[in-house]
Amino acid sequence: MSTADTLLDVRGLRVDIPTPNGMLHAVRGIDFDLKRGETLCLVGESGCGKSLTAMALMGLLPRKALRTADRLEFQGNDILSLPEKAFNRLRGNRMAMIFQEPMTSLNPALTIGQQLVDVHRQHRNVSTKEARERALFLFEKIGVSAPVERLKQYPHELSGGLRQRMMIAMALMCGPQLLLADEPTTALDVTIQAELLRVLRNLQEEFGMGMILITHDLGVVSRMADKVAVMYAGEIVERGDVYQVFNRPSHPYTRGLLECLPIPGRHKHMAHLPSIPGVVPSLIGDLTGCAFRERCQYAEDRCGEADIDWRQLPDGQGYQCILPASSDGVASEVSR
Amino acid sequence: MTQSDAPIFEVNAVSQEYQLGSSLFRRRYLRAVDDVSLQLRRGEVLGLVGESGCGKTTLAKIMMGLIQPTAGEVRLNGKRLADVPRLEVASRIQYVFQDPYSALNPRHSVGRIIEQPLRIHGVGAAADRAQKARKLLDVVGLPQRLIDSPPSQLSGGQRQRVVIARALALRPDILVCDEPTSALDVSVQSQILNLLLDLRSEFGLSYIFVSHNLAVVEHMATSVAVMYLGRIVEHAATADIFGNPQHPYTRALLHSVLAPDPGAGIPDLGLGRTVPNPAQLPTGCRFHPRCPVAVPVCSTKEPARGRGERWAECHLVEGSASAAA
Ligand SMILES: Nc1ncnc2c1ncn2[C@@H]1O[C@H](COP(=O)(O)OP(=O)(O)OP(=O)(O)O)[C@@H](O)[C@H]1O
Ligand SMILES: Nc1ncnc2c1ncn2[C@@H]1O[C@H](COP(=O)(O)OP(=O)(O)OP(=O)(O)O)[C@@H](O)[C@H]1O
Ligand code: SF4
Ligand code: SF4
Ligand SMILES: [Mg+2]
Ligand SMILES: [Mg+2]
Repeated sequence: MSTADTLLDVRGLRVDIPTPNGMLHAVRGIDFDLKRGETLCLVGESGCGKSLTAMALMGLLPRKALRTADRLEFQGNDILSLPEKAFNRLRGNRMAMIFQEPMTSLNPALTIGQQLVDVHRQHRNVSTKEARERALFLFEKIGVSAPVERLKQYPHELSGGLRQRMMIAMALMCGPQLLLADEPTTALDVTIQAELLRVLRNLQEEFGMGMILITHDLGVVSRMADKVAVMYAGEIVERGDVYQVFNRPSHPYTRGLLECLPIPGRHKHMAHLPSIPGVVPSLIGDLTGCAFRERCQYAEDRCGEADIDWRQLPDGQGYQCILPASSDGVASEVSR
Repeated sequence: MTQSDAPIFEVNAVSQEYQLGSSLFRRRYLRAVDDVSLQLRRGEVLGLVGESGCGKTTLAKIMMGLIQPTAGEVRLNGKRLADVPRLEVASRIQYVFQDPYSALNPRHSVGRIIEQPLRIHGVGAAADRAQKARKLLDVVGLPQRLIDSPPSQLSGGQRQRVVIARALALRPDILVCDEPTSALDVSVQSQILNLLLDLRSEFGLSYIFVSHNLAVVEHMATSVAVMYLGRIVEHAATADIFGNPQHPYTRALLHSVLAPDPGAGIPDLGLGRTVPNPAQLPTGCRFHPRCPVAVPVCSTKEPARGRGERWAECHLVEGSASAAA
């Protein structure tokens, strides 16, 4: 349901990529929405389509990739049909992205300072001096040591962690309303991660910035998310608010993910950890039935025969599986 | 698994300085590793944790002989690493890279990648090497059908298994694993961790396990070294580090572990905004600009350097060499 607060409204988003072996259906019809100031976390196995989902929103898909959707609205405006030029005015400005691989958005030939100034001046009528001041202000917020010196350095002269922080600064230069953060803290150690996540949270509160946070780290998800969407093989298989998904996971994949985490006290030192056997199916060609069935301990014949219906629970949680919603009893066993 | 007493691997007073652009007037150095000594015993898993840029990868590379330290030495079974022939080094200690995506040559088949160390060192005839590669696939739990596939057809977890298989080809005693699962999914992470645990009990392997994931280190390690700006500021058995941490930095690290707990928020670690700059080490205790419990002496006097089995380099830690002094 679209309201004045709705930042992003996505229905039936698909991303298809032609490959020599056939069409790869990387994102297979997903729905979600995001309100101002809200954080949606996308989680799921590597290759399930999280980055492509974010890139589709940013209009930055790989060249051959085809984006289609029933609806794709940013602040009530249809961005599917937006001309390239108009979209360029949004990108890096009102919506910005922190990329998973820092080097993809840093230019190795330019200093950090030049890049930060350029991105700001592209969208704002500011002087080089003002842009530099903005960069230093952000450096202070996200904790960059020797800030003035950093501006003169090239990306390759920085540690992985610092590069990541430079990308965060770059994305925040224009004060975006929507931030797509693709694994923004994965390369960082935990104290800096905690500090950066707090910074992102504060900036969000300060500016009402909506955020789509992509991360493998379920600990981070549990603490940052208002809403969670669990993706598997290009689909959203479970969705709900953070309490629902963590305390009452209903899709076997979500439950499996939560069980895999090493948690002291739950797992004996150096004992085998639970894992989800098998690998994700190929995304080339059509997938009938539940994409998780090869790895699912509850799979039945009917899981492979027809597409699985989405089950919407009255409280907003939903999932795509034939099993009944898990009771709170099962849930507490999983989350503790 | 028994741990015999003689260390199979020692790092003695190792330092590494990188030169940062020199000007006419002065040269600037960055001391990435500062007088570090560590020992590894057979069967031990030494967890190495710490801040981004604190020198973990540099230390791991020194251990591998990939970087010549500017001071100190590495010893393998009592012999200076620099004096040990390359084949012998390679057959004792191997490196598992952080990133399974860039660690594999995209033009080579899985089989060729796995037998590469054997080929480089001229071990065995071609047929033996192929046979060995097939065995290694079994050891790391990869299906035989993948032997002719290029890495591009493999999942991340499968690629990390290939990296591990390649590292095992020369039957090393020690694996240096630099963030071995940080590029992997949790469902796959546990498969790789289980594999490493199995290899340890099957072949008596020892690990240096570099990770920023403390939950993983707690599960995997027998002892833990906490690194801060180039030094090991605390070292202890795993149960002591996690059950009774001594150094304020270790405590902050433990506090920063984000176990799943919806709504719990992100804790404030009390470390403030000052971020460590390895190019400009603080005076006194290198942690003092961020330390929530610092006292005046901390900014002028460096805590005594730790040695032995358990230490914490902090003026406030009772029984630490500096408190006794
Ligand atoms: N340029 C491309 N050409 C062909 N296939 C691609 C391309 N980019 C992505 N894919 C495929 O699309 C699928 C989804 O990729 P995506 O990068 O969105 O995954 P992800 O969920 O972000 O994974 P990760 O957690 O590893 O970052 C994957 O199977 C991937 O191999
Ligand atoms: N070749 C180099 N020249 C100059 N400085 C370097 C070089 N390699 C590393 N450094 C610096 O040395 C310090 C330690 O780097 P190192 O890569 O060992 O850290 P790390 O603990 O592995 O960090 P991360 O967790 O970010 O991977 C950093 O400040 C880094 O910028
Ligand atoms: S639909 Fe069937 S196979 Fe899929 S998750 Fe549910 S029970 Fe498992
Ligand atoms: S010596 Fe002082 S500054 Fe350093 S860790 Fe101990 S209390 Fe903190
Ligand atoms: Mg991705
Ligand atoms: Mg490193």
